[in-house]
Amino acid sequence: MNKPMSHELSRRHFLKTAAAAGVSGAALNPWLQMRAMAQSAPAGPDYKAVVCLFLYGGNDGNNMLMPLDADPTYSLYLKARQNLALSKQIPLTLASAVPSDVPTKQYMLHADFPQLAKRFHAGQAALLANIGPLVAPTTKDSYNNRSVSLPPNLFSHSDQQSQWQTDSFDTKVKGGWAGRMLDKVVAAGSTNRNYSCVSVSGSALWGTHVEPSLLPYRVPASGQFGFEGYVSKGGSQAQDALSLALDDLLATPTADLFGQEWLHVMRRALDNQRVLDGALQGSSLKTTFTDSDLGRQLKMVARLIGVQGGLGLSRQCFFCAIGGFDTHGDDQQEVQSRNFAEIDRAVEEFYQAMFELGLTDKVTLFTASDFNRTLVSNSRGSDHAWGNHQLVVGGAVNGGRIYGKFPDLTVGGPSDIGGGVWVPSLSVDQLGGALANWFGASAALGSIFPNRSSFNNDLGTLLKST
Amino acid sequence: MSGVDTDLPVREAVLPHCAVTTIDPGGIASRPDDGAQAQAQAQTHGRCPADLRWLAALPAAALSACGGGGGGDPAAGANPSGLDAPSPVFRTYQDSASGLIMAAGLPGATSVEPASQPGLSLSLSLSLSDASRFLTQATFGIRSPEQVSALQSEGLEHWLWAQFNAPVALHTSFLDKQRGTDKTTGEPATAGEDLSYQAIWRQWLLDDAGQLRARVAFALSQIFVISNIAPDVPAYGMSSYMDTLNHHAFGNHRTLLEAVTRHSAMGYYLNMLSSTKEDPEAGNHPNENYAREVLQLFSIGLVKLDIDGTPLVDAQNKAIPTYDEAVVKGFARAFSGWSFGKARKGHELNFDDPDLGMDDNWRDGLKAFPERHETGTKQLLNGTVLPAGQSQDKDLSDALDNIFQHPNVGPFMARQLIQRLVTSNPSKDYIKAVAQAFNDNGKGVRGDLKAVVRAVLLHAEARGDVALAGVDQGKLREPVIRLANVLRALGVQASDAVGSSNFWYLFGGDMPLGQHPLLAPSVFNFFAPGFRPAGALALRGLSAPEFQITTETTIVTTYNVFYSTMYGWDDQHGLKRDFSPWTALARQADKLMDRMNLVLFNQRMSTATRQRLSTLLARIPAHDEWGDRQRVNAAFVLAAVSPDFVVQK
Repeated sequence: MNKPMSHELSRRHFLKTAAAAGVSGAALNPWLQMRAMAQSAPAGPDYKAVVCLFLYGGNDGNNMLMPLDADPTYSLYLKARQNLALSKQIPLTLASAVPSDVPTKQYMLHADFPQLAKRFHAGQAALLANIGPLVAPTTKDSYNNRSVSLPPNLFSHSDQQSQWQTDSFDTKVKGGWAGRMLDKVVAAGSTNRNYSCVSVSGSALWGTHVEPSLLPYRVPASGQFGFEGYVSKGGSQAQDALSLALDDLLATPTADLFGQEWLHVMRRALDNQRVLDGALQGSSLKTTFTDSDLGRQLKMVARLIGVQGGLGLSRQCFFCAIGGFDTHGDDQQEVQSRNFAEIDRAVEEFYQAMFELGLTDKVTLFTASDFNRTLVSNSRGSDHAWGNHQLVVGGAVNGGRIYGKFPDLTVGGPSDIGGGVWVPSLSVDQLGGALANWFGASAALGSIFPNRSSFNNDLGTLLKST
Repeated sequence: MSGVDTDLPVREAVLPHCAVTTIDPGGIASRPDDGAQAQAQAQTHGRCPADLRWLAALPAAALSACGGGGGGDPAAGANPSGLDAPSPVFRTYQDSASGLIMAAGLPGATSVEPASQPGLSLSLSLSLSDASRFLTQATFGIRSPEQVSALQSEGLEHWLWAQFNAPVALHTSFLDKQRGTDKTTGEPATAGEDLSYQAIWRQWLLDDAGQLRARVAFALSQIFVISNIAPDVPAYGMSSYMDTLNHHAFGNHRTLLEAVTRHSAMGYYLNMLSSTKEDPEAGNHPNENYAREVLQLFSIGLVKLDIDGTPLVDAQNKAIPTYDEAVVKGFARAFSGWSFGKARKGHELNFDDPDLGMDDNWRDGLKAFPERHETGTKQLLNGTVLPAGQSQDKDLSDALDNIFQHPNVGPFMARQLIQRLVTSNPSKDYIKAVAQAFNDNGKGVRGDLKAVVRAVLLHAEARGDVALAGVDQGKLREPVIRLANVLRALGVQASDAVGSSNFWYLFGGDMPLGQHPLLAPSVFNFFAPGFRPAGALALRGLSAPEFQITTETTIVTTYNVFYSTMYGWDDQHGLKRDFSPWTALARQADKLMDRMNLVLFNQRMSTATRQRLSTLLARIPAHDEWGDRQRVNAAFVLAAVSPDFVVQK
């Protein structure tokens, strides 16, 4: 089944839209918004951004971070993983022991993360061990006894994606935690407020806030914003009949709710064309990015960060994604290797771009994914699990460390609720809380993360104030 | 195989969904001869279509031969007049014009032809706008005003009957015909995946006799999702899967569910292929992928539903889960032990390493490997536990019965089929009416999809002009359907005998529409049934699934597709359009807009849209053919993004 490379790339390009949830927004007058803003300007001194890199499908974290071959617990890993076991990956030298682990325990990182390993050892990246959505601190016993509230529909892709992005367990939830965070730190009525969150990977709940609305713009990583043949009003070129008709179309309200939404998205698409085309012309970013799907996404994020001063925003969130991690079959290792190599290159290039912009300690990237995959192999791949390992990258990170508690890899042991499924030792609230504190939303943590107070402050030292 | 009146090999002509099964001696006698239950029990020898397992439950006299019995669906004989007439015999034949193999007498066909009578039924008339609206719901688009008035005279009953009876060209035969020859070996060339997409667009754009089957099969492909996004499904896998959905579109849901479960492309996509029994020594377990998604996405969903689709709640007002992990593992065990049944010369037949390079394996269905099947007990839904030691076929059959009999299936299928064809937010009454048709087609048969499709299209919320007034009614037309609507309005025709095409940008390339058949980003389809874009719709609690792929990004690329369709086509797509009915009206703006109103807008073009089109046309000089064409081009591009067109009421 050979395919031309370009075909494959574009195919995978589409994977990124695997989100089960998304956003759009209320009608805005396309003519009033953002007329003044296409001026490019460097980021202000107070600028900060959080980047979410979502690994759609459930990344097999058990093969991202694992005990070193020489570690006594490696045999547990080997026994459960069978055909999926890796050896001789990148040994990690920790800046300090993992809390509550034996101090001598040794770890390795997947071999397709060489650049990330360097950042880790340089103290610019950290690992979060066994993190996942939780309503309250949970143990194997309280899970088995159902003596604690559990996230509904565990192991379902759509539900776990949504829980990671919303940190909410009400299925009627309408917004994400970045949306709630931005709503607190970006003043209502600010110019370009809706550009405080940008998704370069389709619909995403994470940056949405519903009331009052804060609706992320979805921006094409390609940078191709234009409606073919459309000539906008007030430009040097005279408008043709069809362009005039489109302007009239967008300016004419309709009572129909679906029609309103359609016009709303069209207007926002024109916002992108008017606002970002101009702003990005001011981008002078020199860092080159490898031409991959994620490379294009993070390049667009880097370019937008580079010109954000033109938008007048001092706090932004960006959503990007890579798909294909739902590997139940014997392609699990191959898919993960390929995806990790793409992530490793793109995130490193993104870090280099932030270095060029002088913003390494102002921009923090973290990974998230639906769930981990079972440690136990199904003889080919592995199935849906729960607590997973994640990465946090940036100059503000207190790096070289593994936060949280690495699970006991004994099948049926104290971490396992069946088949190598870990009860998370860290919650999304704790990660979100650490990021929100750093972001300047500490006064509003309670409302952004309603369940956070029931968790400890294990991630209190994850980020340095910068 | 008396039903085959072609000299092509039987396998290629007839059996895209063939399943090899074994006899279950106790099966037939142990259950009452109630179609829905018996069909799961009845088994037959050897290589017959999965459907034929139904036949063993029917009186022997009803069977002429393998392939007889109206496609083998007990619901096939149901007809609106209530007469029990013999159903047309399932057969295949070669279409002389295209050379493609046609399948006829499919489930849902009936030989009793209702009278052509104008209107909706004996008592209701069918307005021009309702006829137009019906064709928008039930087809890939309206070709001409004459097509709408013809439906008014023919009446819906006769139109539906003709659609249920219409033969369909096998997509796999399109591959057989178009794959060509490998110049080096002289053997048939590897069928490119583009051929599978061509076969789909051919059916959508050119198969006028079977438009309803095409629409329903596409809807089913968005519930029972396979995708060529990843992992790659070869052309014969995809086309054979489309043949399966076409075959069962008006058949029984239980049969469809089994055909899908046993299909190689599904086995490959959701890893039932090569899923092996428990191995406590190695710590391995059966693959849970298909088991989980067949429950969550194909049949019952996560929470228990009332018949009207409302989630049931417990005493704490919490939704009640339909299953837990033990049930997922139980179904995974019940579905273990299947792989491909053939290997090419020089390849070993190997359960763990199936020969993916052999076309036959993608058409034949999964084969049982009893030694790899989990023989222990299996926990299923609603407390059912399958006993240990059952045969592999019986486990699979019992597991599918267990799903099929779950009360959620009716409302689950009802909501999604209504959403795909009619409206995003059906009322509880509408869902209930369709679910009731699922539960009982009026003759005691559960799962009759023909009855379900009729209930979807003939309900008061789908018909008449009453429901249209609501600002919350209707749905966003799906992007690929919007393109098909425009192309059919432009009279799209084949430019060769088989109807090949070359939409390179839609064949898995950049996918500018954000949607393409068999290329959903995941098994969760392009959009979730409950997706609510934040804003006015979400605040009203309204779902609008298609907006999940209608973003600031895709709305631009979609617009550009329509723009290039009108301005930059040059017939490089291997299909012809006929602009003459439109350019003839280019200098009679009112008549052009009237035609557009009927063919694209279901007679609901707003005053604002009409005024805007009128102004647009007046601004474009038209003194010659070129000018006429410019007017038509601009009018179509504007129409394609007008809210009263993109929203189907």
